[in-house]
Amino acid sequence: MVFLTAQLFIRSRGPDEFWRKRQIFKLAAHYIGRKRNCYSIAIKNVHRSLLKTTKGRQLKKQDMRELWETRLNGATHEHNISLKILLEGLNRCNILLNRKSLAILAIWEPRTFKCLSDIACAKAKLGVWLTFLENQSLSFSWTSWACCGVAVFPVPIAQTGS
Amino acid sequence: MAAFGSFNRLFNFTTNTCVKRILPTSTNKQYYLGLKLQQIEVAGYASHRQPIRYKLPWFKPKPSYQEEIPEEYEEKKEKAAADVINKINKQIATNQVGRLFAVIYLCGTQFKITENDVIAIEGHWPPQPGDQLNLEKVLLVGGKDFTLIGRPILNRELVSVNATIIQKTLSHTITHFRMRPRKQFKRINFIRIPRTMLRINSITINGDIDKKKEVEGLDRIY
Repeated sequence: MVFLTAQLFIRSRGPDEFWRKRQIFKLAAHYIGRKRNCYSIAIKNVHRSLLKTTKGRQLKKQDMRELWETRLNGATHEHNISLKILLEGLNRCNILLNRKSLAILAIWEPRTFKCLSDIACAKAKLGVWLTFLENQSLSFSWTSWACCGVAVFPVPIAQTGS
Repeated sequence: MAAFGSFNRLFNFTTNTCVKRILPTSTNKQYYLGLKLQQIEVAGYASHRQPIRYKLPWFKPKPSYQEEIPEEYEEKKEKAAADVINKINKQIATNQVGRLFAVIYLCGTQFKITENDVIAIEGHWPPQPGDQLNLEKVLLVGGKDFTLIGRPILNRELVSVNATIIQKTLSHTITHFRMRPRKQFKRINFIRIPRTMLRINSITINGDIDKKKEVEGLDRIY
């Protein structure tokens, strides 16, 4: 079909009706009931689901962050501090590990995480938060260093290391 | 109010032109000052739109916490620290560190890696397949019995993480669909994000951890 004028080109809309509908039906193939067979109902649900997937990509990032925080909360409470103290203490030490890698370390490298929480706790103790910590009546087990071995002993080294 | 303002402006303009014609320019400024004062905006109104800055932007705020620096160093603690460092050095020298792991910072994200790992980097990234890289932003390195923590990164000379780029592909098709119901607005875009696969060849600690070289970065061009 040859369009001699631009006007006619605008009037013809896309592929044939059958193929246009088939696109939608393809996306609705796994639905149940009339949602998958009736076009007018199918298109509504397909639009709804596509909108949700677009939104969901942002929501996933927020959810992951929440999940890491929950995990870290659990991990820090094992060492008698809270997540807030851990993040604040590490930040003051200029240790810039994010929530994701901290959560991974807490799960897979518990001795490293213990060391990190000790550092954070010691740093927080130096600052104003000392009173805050005392109010919470948290006890810190510094004596546990020796029995846990070498890895949990935070030691300053002369280079850029901690 | 608007009418008053416009009238005021008109009045100013007429007086200004009249005064300019009558008086020489030097006296004009002095004479006009009184009229101009009316038009200056009230400070409160201006601050409502844009907060007034009292500080210069490049002055950093003081930290909210006060740190007490412990004065007395306990000999016991120092000796223990030296012991630990010696032990770590011995482990590195005799190659008993086990399989090292590291947390690296790459393309805005942190990865926890070990040897022979494959990591996927999302987004546009220039390196091509076959390129050998030395990843230098190492936040943390750990072995069997010790962990080195960077503040924020470890020394470039101390730890070397070598990696090879094995593949550059695209992700699956992501549908970005926007629609407003009853507003005749519908847009659909299809996106495929470039993805780079990276294999970690080796993680090694070079030399003793507490020794700092006199000259660094001799092998670097940039």
